[in-house]
Amino acid sequence: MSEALIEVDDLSVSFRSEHGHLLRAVDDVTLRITEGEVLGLVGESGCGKTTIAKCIAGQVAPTSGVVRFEGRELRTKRAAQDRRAIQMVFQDPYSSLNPRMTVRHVLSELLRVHRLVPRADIEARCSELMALVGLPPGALDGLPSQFSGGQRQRIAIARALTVEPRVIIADEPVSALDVSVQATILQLFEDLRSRLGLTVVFISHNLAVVRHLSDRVAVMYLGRIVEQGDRESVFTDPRHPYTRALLASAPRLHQVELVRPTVKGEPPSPIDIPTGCSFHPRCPLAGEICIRDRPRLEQVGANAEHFAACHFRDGTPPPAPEEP
Amino acid sequence: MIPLTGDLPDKEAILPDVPGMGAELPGVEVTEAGEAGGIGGLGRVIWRVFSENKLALVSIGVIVFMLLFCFVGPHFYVTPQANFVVTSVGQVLAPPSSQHLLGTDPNGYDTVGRLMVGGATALEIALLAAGIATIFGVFFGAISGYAGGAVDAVMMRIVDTVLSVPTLFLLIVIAAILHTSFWLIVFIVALAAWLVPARLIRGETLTLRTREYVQAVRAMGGGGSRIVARHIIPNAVGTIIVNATFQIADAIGLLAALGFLGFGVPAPGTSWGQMLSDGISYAQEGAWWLIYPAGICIILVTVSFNYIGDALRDAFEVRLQRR
Repeated sequence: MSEALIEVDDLSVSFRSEHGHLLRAVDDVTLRITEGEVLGLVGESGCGKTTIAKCIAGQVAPTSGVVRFEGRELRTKRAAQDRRAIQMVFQDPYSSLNPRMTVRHVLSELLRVHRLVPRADIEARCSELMALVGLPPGALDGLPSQFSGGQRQRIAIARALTVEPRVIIADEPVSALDVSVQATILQLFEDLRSRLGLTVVFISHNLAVVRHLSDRVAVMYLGRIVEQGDRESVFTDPRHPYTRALLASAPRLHQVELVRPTVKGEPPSPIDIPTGCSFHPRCPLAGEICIRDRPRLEQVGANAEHFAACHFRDGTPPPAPEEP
Repeated sequence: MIPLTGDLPDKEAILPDVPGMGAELPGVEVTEAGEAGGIGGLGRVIWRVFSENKLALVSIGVIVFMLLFCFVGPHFYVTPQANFVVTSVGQVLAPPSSQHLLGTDPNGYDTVGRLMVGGATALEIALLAAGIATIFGVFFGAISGYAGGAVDAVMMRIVDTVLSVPTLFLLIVIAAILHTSFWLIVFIVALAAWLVPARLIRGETLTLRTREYVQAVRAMGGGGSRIVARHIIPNAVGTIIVNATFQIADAIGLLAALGFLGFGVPAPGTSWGQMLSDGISYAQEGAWWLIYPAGICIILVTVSFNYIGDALRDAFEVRLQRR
């Protein structure tokens, strides 16, 4: 693996609920994001995907741990240049665009603030951005309400691109869109990545979408990463029972019979995380060790790119607890 | 051990090349944009709902008539309104006649002319006070709501404190201490009025600040003042306009109350409330023309602004639903 562009080290975020309970949204997450790659972050709702994204983008302050960009620590208060480098694309293109601003205004606003291009070139730059996301320059005069969901998402992507970011964090960018439109937006991400060399963190609960786009995949469960690796390893040789269950329950065409879910029950509340491996109450493999010891994210077999946080990642449980 | 079930179908199976998806691509939106019609489109919807409310249309007519009456009227119905114009005893407290359509007051002023002068003063003060109160209240509320935390707490406690003092009491004390003038009254009425928009807009801001477009601008390095001025206040404009309309109605009522209690613009100026106050003692002697016209004017204008506000609120709610 080459030098990481973004390093997330031991990141934890907890919130205090109204009744004083501690909610651990993100628990000790360590991630490496390499320049130019697409990292897919998968997990069911409430597992902390968005919180990690917001920590990287500087919208949420970590309770502990650090986020580094090119080796420098990034806090929620950061230099304008670092702020610009990481941009987000949101899930709902209906609430992510100011309904009272024309597209031109949306795109030019921050160009003006940061004086990224000379005043005279703003118009040309706007048209260029529109072309980049596949919209005609005529659409610059429209208001967000005049566009379809897919078009709005293109506008939101163009807006993120105005400040010339190096990383785009896309938080469920297609889950609010029709399936046919989803494909075109995914295609756009792929284009942008190859044309602009963007690094993309792609958050989704949709495995098919993540598989389509990602180089590497991280699977999250209850605030932790339970499996991480290159796309092929994770999808063809999943080692964490949660990943397997996710893959098994993904709907597919020509499916003759309904696949019975291999996990029991519902995810526990993040206020009351189980001891040991947080997946053990639902896990078909769970043994005594899982209730006692929390598995760490460790290399799977001989594959240096594939990690899983499961005592049974290599088929059989380890002979003895590895930790003192 | 469960079997490995990790094989997913190809991406083509799940994300097929649907022929129809080209419809999402460029070319279509230009016509689409032309049809929906931008700000004009929103404006039309607002107007359509507003104009369904006949009472509001009548109210607009009343307000327009009152404005013409007060500001243009004096050019057509010329009456002396300078100080000490009393010429003869016969013209004091005269009942309505062809010469004085609504009679004269104890100083010999023509009542119709007096209504024009008093109405102009009342409307000027009410509009100015409502304008100042709205602008100040909106910025106060938006800043408070956007800043949050300790700043918000302190700013809102200021509002609570001022709000806990009975308005009329506060106004009378201020008016009694200071020498009354046009601008002092504007200031006093605005002082009482800015609290409501401040609270309303703070509430709006609390929801608007969590919108993703606000987060996006922040992530891109847009400053707080830009976010408040460009992204929060423009999206609260419906609430602001509706509230401003009610503010005008309230200001006219408050001004009338102040005038009635004897705190008004210095003579020879007057306002409708002052006319009521001045005329009340003569009304018992049968000089009805000194109080009824002024009272009717106050009620008409106040009620009209309230109806307009109601209709605007309905119209903006429709717009919100569309959004």
